[in-house]
Amino acid sequence: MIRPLVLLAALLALSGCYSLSSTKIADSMNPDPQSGVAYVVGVVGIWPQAVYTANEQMLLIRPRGGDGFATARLYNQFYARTPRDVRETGHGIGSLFVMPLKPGRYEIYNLHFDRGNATSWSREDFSIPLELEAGKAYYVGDFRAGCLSAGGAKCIFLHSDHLERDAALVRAKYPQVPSLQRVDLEQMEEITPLIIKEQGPKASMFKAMLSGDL
Amino acid sequence: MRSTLVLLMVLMLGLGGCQTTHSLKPAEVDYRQSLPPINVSVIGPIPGALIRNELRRRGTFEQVLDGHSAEGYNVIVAANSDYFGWQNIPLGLLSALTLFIVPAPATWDSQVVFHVSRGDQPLARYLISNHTSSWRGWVNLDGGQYPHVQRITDDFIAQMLKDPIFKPMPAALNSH
Repeated sequence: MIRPLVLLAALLALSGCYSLSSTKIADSMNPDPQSGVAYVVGVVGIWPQAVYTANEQMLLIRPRGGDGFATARLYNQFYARTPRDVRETGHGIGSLFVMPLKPGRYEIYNLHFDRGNATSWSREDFSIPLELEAGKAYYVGDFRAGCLSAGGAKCIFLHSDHLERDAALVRAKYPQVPSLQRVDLEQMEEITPLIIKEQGPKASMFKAMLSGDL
Repeated sequence: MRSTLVLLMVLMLGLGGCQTTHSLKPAEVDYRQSLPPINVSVIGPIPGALIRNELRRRGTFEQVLDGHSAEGYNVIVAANSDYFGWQNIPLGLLSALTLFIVPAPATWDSQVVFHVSRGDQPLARYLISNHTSSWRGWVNLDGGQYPHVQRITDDFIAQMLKDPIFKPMPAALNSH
């Protein structure tokens, strides 16, 4: 009776050591020796004041007009999690992602939230364009998720810019990555209603709902 | 001997589901060229999100958005289609009874008009028709429904690329 329990406890304890990568990239998007490398850098995580959160949140990136896709993600389950490179007070955590890609034209085209009993994504794709040149590293920003209710999976990302903090993290963890340059995501809010600028004019209602004050 | 025959028959019926034929031939153009951003609204039974997603998939348009723009390019898609129409119900039921191993015939028929304008000024009009017949079963679950729409949107992109009014930009940065 006791032995299986001990075994299970040991397995559970060990599973906590298992850490997933914060990116998953299709083979066709991997750089080859002739192409050079371009990096897409950012953070995906959970908004510090969010009351309801998802277990998995991810951004999806694909080459324009091509096949395959890559994901930047934060997994937050006790048995499967990505590294927590950023941690604020409350349950604000974030995984830094550094994606080495073949240079070319890409787009952020969808997102995905999984809450265990419900998943959600954008029914219609969108296109936040990324033009990547070899030898450069592009900083897309900090994407923090929060969900609007206890059930269901209506979740959104709040976007903010923490270039200095994330550049320091990248220097420490990935010294081979060149210095980061910002990507202009100016039209982002017109393109998709699911990514809101944290400091923008649309954010106040979402912040009130996500933090449970409303 | 008899069981082999039955197995062969089941296999052939199953493979029959692979066959999908379109009346619209695939367009041969370089989709890596680029065209300006468009705003697309759809009238008719084909879902607007599906048409916009198919237009985005090729990456030819700089941006594909819903709705209407006052200065930019607008595309109004008027679809006459049996996209949500009934298929042959008795054969569909028969197919369901065999757990979709025996495929059922499915057809899709659409005439789609793409009105392209800049602001409110009309520029071009393309009429694209496609008739798809297919065998829907466990190897061909959508029965050619999505490829049917894909052919039409691909043909629209190809016609716009060939149209001298739009002067597509060559495939410069596109390395894919």
